[in-house]
Amino acid sequence: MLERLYVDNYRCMVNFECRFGSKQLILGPNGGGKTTLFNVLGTIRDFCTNGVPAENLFLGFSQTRWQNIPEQTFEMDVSGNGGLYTFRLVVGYSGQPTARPRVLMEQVFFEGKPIYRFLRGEVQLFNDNHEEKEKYPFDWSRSAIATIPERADNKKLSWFKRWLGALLLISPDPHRMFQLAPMEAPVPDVFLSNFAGWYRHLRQESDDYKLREDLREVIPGFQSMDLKDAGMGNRLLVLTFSVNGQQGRVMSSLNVPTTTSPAPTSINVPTTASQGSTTSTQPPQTSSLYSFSELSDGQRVLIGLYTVLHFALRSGATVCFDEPDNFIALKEIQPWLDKVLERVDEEADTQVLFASHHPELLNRLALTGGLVLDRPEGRHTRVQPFSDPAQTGLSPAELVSRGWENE
Amino acid sequence: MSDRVSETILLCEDDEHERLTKAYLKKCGQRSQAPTVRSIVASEQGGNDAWVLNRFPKELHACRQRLKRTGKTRLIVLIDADKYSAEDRRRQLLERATAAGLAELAPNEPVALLIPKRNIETWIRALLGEKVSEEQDCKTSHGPSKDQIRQAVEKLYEWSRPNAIPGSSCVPSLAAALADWRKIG
Repeated sequence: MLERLYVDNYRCMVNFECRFGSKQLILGPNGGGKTTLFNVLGTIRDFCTNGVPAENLFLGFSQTRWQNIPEQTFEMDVSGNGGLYTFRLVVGYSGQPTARPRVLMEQVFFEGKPIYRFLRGEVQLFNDNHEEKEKYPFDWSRSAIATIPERADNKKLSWFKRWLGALLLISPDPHRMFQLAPMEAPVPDVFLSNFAGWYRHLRQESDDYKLREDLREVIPGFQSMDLKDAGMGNRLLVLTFSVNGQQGRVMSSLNVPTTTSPAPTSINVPTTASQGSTTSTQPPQTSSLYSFSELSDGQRVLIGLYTVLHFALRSGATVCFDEPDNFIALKEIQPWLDKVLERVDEEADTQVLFASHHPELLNRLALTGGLVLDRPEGRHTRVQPFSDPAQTGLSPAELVSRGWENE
Repeated sequence: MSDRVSETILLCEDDEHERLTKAYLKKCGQRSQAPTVRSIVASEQGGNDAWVLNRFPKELHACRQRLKRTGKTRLIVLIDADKYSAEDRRRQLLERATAAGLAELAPNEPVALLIPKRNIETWIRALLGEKVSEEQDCKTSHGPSKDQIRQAVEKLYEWSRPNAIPGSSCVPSLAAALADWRKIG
């Protein structure tokens, strides 16, 4: 679980430090630094586990504009695996600022003792007893963590690498969520634009029975989600909806016939309340196939969010949601939020970070540790706990709508 | 934390209350747009007076607390008297506040209780120069036009200036409220 983040000289973050809880709400005005905070986490993840070079992620435009410091510093404290990890990364220019940015220092400690060090172009590995092992030169422009294989004597470092690699940033954008899955995607991207590919991957790995159960409750008529062959190795994400008493529309491109009751679900699942209310006097139920792109924006996002809930928010995971409530009706966000918070309570070391302005999220989470990020007079980001200093007794959402929080 | 902070809370029953008050504040040279003025308007159809009565103690408490801390908060309440007298309606509001354990309203508090008798449309028609009775229900299905609101606010501004003499069409509840209009203007 992410306990602390320190950032210096990255966009609006100057000497910025923030501590997090397991159900963390981050709020504040537009331009306050909420998304930047998530960007930092994504940047560290991509650098350390995906092998992205420093020049693509650091310095340049990501430097704080009003500073002329050729270094950026990042620190993270992460709890897990029975202890506390501390990660420290300093990226900077060595000599002329026209040169490519370099890793000046990259270190990982476990309970204050070193398990990895990359300093002055040389990597020093440690075993799990913190004894020095191999030492070798390495490319200054990359993190060596990404290249270190898991071994019997580096379980501590491997745990950290796995945690960081699994760190998810989600900001669903239905306009980028396409129906076609050309290949499997093991990890969803930030906008869920590869959702179909991710779902294709998930279906290879596990059953989506519980996901479908949830979606039946929140999307009227939803029956199931499936992948159809679309030629050239592509798969098309399609959904089956029941239509009571109406002839279902058939997707001509798929040439899938409309069927009569029971709905053509491939797995025998219990009927939901809406289906259960069918009586013998009601007309027969038909079903229709729709491609994923035919759904409304809100439905696509909802399906994406429930999929994240069921397949990504697992024990030990940290998931950051940047305004997950966009496109979603108030009535729909509440049950999803309930399930997310329930999951965090049930699963060990699971953490969820929300950046949101949604009244439901504000009222649920702001007073129990919400963090307000803002930039007074356009300067660097400041963080403070959400509060009602005047003790007005108003709900957090009302306080925020009046601008009375943290006055 | 943000400079977009509501300094005036307007608690009222319906759109007509909100339109008239905001237009008046604007006429007086104040920024009347949200979020400087935060309107809290009953959203229900009918029974809006009960909603305002119920909400009043909460808003009074919140505004008093913030006033204590920042020195910059005021509360404007608009509620139609309807079948009651304006005095009875005022008493109802104050009783709700004391029942909630709040201190009585002091004369110098930045709280304005504006209570049209019989309703806001009565005031608007009076401001437009019509002879109306406070017992007469002046509500219409379509409400006053933008032009009528503008003209009514011109007159309200004129009547609420210090030492101004209201026109002959002014109804007693409006005459009694002019001091409060002056206070918020």
